[in-house]
Amino acid sequence: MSTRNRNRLVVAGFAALALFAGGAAFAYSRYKAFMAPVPVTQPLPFNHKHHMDEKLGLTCDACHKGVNEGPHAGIPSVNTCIKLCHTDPQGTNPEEAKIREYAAKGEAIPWQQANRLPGHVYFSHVGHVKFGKMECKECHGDMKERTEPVLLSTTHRLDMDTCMECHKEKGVSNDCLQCHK
Amino acid sequence: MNPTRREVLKDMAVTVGAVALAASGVEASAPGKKRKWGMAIDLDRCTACQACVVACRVENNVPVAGPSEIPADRGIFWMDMLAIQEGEHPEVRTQYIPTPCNHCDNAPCVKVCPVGATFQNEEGIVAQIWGRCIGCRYCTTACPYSRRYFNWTTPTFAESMKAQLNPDVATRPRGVVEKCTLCHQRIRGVKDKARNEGREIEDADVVHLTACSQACPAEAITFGDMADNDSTVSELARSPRAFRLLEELGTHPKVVYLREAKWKE
Repeated sequence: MSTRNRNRLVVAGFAALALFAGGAAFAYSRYKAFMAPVPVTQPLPFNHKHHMDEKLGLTCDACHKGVNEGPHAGIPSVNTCIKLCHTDPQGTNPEEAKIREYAAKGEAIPWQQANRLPGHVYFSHVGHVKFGKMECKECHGDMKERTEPVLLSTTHRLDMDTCMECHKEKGVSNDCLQCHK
Repeated sequence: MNPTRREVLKDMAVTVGAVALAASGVEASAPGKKRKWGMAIDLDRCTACQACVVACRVENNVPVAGPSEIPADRGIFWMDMLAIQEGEHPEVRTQYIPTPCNHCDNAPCVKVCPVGATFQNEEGIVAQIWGRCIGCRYCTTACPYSRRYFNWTTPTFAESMKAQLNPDVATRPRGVVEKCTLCHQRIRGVKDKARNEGREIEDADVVHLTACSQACPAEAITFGDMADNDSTVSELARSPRAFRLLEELGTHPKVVYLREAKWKE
C-alpha cells in the first residue's frame, strides 16, 4: 500500500471516529434532556409535612387512595379537602382560602403532575405498594419532611436500569411486557 | 470386575432415560406453570362484520391511514379481514378470515430482528418494543402472514379522537414496525385485578378478554391459555374443525381457526 493511500485511510478512520463520537454525544444530550425533570407551577403552596406530622397524622394512602387500588396513585378532589378540614379557615396562610374558592366554583384544584414516566412505560402503584410491599419514599423520597409544594419531579432518578436491578433483586419478572406498553 | 459391554450400555440407557424423564417431569409439573396465550377464531360463526377490526383499532391506538395512504398500501391493521376466493366460476365462494398476528411459537420475525426489538415473551406473546425498533423492516419481510406494519408517516389522530386514545397503549412514532400484542395491557389489568382479589386468573376472566373477542357479536373469537388443557381455547384447538394458517411452514401459530369445510391453501 502506498503512503498516500495509507494516509487517506487514516484520515477516513479519524473522520469516521469523529462522526461516531459526535453522534454519541448528540444522542447522550438528547437522552439527558429527555430524562431531566420539567419544572411545574402549583396553584397552592401545599405543605406535605404539615399534613403528615403527629398532629394530623395523615398517611400517603389517605389522599392518594389509588395506590391500593390500581396503577394511578391519584389526587384527592377538592371536596375531600373541604369535608375533612377546610370548611372553615385553617392556619394563617392567606392562600388557603383558595381551596374554598375552587370548591364554591365547583372546580378541581389544578394540581400539576410533577412525576412522569415516558409514554411507553407502564407503572402500577398497586403492584409496587400493595403486592411488592414497597414504601412510597423508596421512589418519592421522604414526603413527610417536605414543606414546599412539589415543583420538580421527586422520582427523576428512575431509569430503566433502576427498575430492572430492583426487579432482579426481588425476583420479579424482567419480561419487557411487564413494564412496556 | 470390569463391567461387561452389555452392562455399560444398560447403565447408559437407564441414565439417559432418567434424565429425559426428569426433564419432562420438570416441564409438566413446574410450580406456577407458564401460560401460553392463544386464540381460536370460529370461521363458521364469523359474519365478517369487522367489529373486531374496529375494536382493535380503538383499543390499541392504531392510526387511521386515510385515503392518501391506503392506495399506497400503507394502512395499518393489527386485525385485518382477509377475503379468500374458493372454487371456480360459477361456483365461487368467499371465505372471510379475521387475521390478527398468529403469535407463532417458532416465529420467523423474532429470528431476524437485529436489535432484539421483537421477541417472544414468557407467556408466548410475540411482542415488539417500539422504542427499540430501528425500522429495518426485516420482520415485515420475514412474517409469512404479513401481520406486521411499518409506520411510514408520523401517526396522526384527529382532534376529536385524541380523548379516546387508550392510555394503556403507547402511540408509536414514525419509522417503527408495529403489530398485534394480544391486548397484553388487558392481560396485565386482569392479572392485577385477580391479584387484588387474592386469586388466580380463571378461564372465565380471559375467554373474551381481547378487544376483538369482546367486540365480536357472534362470539367467534375465543382467547385463553393454550397451555391449560381445560381452557375453552385449548378445547377448541383440539376440535376436528381446527386448522392453522400455513401450517406446513412449521411456525406453530397460536391462533387456531375452526371451519367445518376442509381448508385448502
